[in-house]
Amino acid sequence: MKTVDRIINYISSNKKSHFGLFLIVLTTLSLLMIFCYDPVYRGDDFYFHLRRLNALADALRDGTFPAYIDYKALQGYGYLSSVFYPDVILIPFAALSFVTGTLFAYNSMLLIMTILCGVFMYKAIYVIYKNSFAAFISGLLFCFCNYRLFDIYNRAALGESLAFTFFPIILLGMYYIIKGDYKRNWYVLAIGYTLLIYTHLLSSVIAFILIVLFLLIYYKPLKEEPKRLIYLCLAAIVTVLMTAYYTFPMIEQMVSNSFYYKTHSWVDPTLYSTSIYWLLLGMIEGLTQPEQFFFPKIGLFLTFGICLRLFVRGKSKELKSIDIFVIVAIGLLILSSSIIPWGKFPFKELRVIQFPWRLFAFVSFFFAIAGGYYLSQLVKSRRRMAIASFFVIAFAALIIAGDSQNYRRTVRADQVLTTPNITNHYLGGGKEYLPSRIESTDYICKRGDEVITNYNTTRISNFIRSKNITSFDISIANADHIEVPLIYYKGYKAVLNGNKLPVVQSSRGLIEITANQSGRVEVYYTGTTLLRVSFWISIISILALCTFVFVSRKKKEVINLSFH
Amino acid sequence: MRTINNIINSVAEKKAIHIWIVLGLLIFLSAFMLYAYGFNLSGGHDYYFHNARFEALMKALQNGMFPVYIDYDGVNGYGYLPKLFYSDVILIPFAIIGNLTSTQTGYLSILFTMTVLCGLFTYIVVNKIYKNSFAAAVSALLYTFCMYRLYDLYHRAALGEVLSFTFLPIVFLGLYYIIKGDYKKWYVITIGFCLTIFSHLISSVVLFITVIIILAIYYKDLKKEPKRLLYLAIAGGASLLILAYYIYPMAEQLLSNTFYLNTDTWSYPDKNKINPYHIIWGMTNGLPLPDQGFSPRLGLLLTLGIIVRIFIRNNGKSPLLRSADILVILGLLFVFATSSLFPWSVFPFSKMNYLQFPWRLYEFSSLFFAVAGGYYLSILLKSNVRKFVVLCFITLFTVLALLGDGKYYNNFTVQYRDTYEYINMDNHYYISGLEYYPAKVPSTHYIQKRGIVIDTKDSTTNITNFARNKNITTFDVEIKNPDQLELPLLYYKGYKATLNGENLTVEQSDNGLLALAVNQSGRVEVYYKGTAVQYICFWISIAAIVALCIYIFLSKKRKK
Repeated sequence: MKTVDRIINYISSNKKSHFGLFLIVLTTLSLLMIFCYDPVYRGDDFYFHLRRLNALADALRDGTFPAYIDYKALQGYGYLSSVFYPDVILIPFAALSFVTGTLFAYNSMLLIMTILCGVFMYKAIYVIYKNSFAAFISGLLFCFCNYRLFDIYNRAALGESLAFTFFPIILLGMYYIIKGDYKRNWYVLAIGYTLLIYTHLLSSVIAFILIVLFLLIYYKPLKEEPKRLIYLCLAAIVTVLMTAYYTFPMIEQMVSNSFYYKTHSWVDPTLYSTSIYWLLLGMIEGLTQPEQFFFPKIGLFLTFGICLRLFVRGKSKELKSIDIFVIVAIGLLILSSSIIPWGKFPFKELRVIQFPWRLFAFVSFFFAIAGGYYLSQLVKSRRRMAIASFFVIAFAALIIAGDSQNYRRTVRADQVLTTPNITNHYLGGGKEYLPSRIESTDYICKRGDEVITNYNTTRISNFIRSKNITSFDISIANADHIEVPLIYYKGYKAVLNGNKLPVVQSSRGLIEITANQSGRVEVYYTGTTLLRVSFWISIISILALCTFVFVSRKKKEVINLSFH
Repeated sequence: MRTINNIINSVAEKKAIHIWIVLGLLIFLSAFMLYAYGFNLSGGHDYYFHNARFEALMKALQNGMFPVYIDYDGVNGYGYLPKLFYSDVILIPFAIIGNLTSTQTGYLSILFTMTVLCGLFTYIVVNKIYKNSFAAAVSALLYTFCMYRLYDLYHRAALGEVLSFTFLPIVFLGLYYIIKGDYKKWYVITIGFCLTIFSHLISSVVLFITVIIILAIYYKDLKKEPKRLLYLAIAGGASLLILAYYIYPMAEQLLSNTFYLNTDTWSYPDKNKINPYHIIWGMTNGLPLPDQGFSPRLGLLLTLGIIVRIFIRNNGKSPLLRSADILVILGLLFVFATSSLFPWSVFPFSKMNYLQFPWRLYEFSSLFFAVAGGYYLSILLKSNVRKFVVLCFITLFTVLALLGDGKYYNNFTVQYRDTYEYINMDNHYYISGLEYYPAKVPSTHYIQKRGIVIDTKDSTTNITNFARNKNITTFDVEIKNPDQLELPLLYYKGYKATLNGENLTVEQSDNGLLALAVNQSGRVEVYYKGTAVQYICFWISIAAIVALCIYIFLSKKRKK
């Protein structure tokens, strides 16, 4: 017993070891997660994201990055998910997949992003609340909360599950803007928000609304020092510049055409709001039983954390901020429930979020912070801290162990790793990024590799698809409108005997060109000018920010040195 | 906000009305329980067994056969005698209600009354020992509506164990008086123990062991005042008299024959352990999900109750805190004993095979955790508003648990039984593990195949006019040589047979049935008369109960 006490005392008095200890625990649990949930390919959207990763890897290999299309999709008709769904976070892992294969790269992505998620959470909480125990607990609560595991594996919603990683950076950025040293650290918010946008758009939209909400709640410090607002605007401008690569081409594409996500909406939030009973049930569900079906939930782990509030005494600024988080999170919980009329204004306008329980990601985030902080206020002796940490670690391990069993037994247990195809939703659940004019994917499959002409005097021969280039010979009697078997997106280029042809959308949502002479036609996706320009805007602004941060840090060091 | 505060504070100060609030809450939740689960009880494993017991008692009261009777309709008319092994005392008032209304109403009134009483007794006991009405209210709610009790009530329909829940708190109050309090109230433990034994024997055995463990822990108090031990002995002696109606006839019967319960091995504890993940899952599981299997478990609320212990600061341990800690440790040991890590097949545990399911210990863990949780929370929560919030939480949680589990019970458990099973010999007429079959009976299939006939050894013997009128079997026998008859009745000690008004010796056949040696022709009449022990013991019990009541009345009066 005494030796145990001595170890506990040694660790708690040696502050530098705290982060190291956290990192060891975090890495172990993350590895356990990867190991337990194998195989990773059973989740709902797995093949969609796998295809994105593969298309990116192909583009890097072919040298077409950053202007590329998934030309293997839809039997060569091409699918432009890369413009609608940001690919930046995937880049290093796509590169890794050259060496290791896709599955390993995918798993390493999950591992690294989980570890980073914990590390960022720890750092953010440690900086804001200056309490390593709270940071330790919050980090674990957040990383291994039920909804995150659900997102990573059961839903395989890669974008959303990676988005978790950057919430803490945004929180820290907001802290600097509202309360902290905004002059030196304003860019943290810009970095965090940029990373979030580059990961998952829907989460960024919700995060934006929450940022505005918190600015309103904390309007007093902003009123006292309006300068803070200026730095906020600076951060916003930098964010816009850094995210140019994604936002502008996407807007351009959205404006240019109408797509399935708008016209063929298949997910109605009113159908997916959580009934109060299931909401509460999910809040107090501890461990998953191997046979039960899984549903999005907050989990006992987090609920228990906020219930501790009842035992916390006293008042402080920190406690107040945590209480605000909890209240906001409870508000979000109510929003995700069926008592909110998602079919009516103003909620109707938010139907892009598809599943109201997406808000659980943010609820989990706030609850994790609160749980860690409340616990740190209640558990004061070192020995009890050790016991509490042990419990949290053990419980996280048990959640992983039990939930993964459930995943392996109940989620498409018969599914094996196959190539992505129509039946496994590799175009996304709602085939969101098909132009609305496309009748159906079945039609595309039936239509095949045929080039359709208006006149039967027009002859097509030597049709070849070679990587991203579709080419064929054409011989005409009259000028003819021909329909090429490629899905229409802005950014395609068609060349006939070296001359550029105008590309328009056919009535069936495919590419149509007008041939006025015989010869060889080549059609391929080059991306729009805006895409290439925005890419460089992003690169330059990111480099500029890096330089700025580096220089200002150095200056700080000089100042610090001169003080000593 | 302030008005609410004031109301809560003024209610908190009026101690006299607390018990009424708790009673109101208990009645509401118990009624809600009946509503949530519906009136169809047939989903429970042992429902038909207990319902048959209940109906047999109802009939016995109607026919005036009580207190000595047999379930003559049981086992296809072969007559089943669980009554001697499984006490019927607690059921008596409800059987009267059943006779006045209907069997179902009578049965449901047991569940309702016993649930309300369970909470009420817990409240009173905890309030007496810990002197804190908030702690008592929390304990009462946690214990009465704990997951394991709900499991017993509906999914297992283990009526005996359900009844025993209600009386455990009384035993622990009695134990408190013996160890620390006014030992002159020794009769509390007597009353508690007798009621528990009259409810369920297996629980009582575990209770007995638990009581001994607690006495051993508090041996110092007993050493200081050895008189306390004397009063404990008095309590024990009184119990043996009050229990006479049940224990001696049972012992007589057990000695007279061997039964399935002596020979069966399917229910050995070693075969019914729970794996540790499942235990922990059960401890953190909040509400039952409508689609998951229900299994014995402790439930989240109890776990939370004991976890808050780490927030209590140790400023000089009070004896009360120590007692709560002891309960938690004991409860955790019991939980451990339910796990697959526990060596149930090794001596001395191998001697406890009658326990059947190690998770029966959850009954005790649940009580201990509920009491400790209530007490811990009362220490941690100082403001009345927070106490109120916690009570609301627990009530809400309980309502949700009842709703969710009720849904599961109706959608799955009942449906399963209704669709896939019906009462027949393959499921042994639902008389559980057939514990009280004489060991010589080959199987239920044998009984079914054999049918309602009288077997003779001599083929010239003629049986005519076979008739059954309630508990009386009659027939005419015509013999050429003296013969041995085998009747379609399970053999139990206490049957009486007459031939032309003369007594016949009743023996057991090789098939565990009733055998009669006949040496003349005439009319045979067979019925269950019971043994002399049964009648005498009944009156001993009545006398002992009356005597104890008078004693209590007098000693209360003297005090005044």
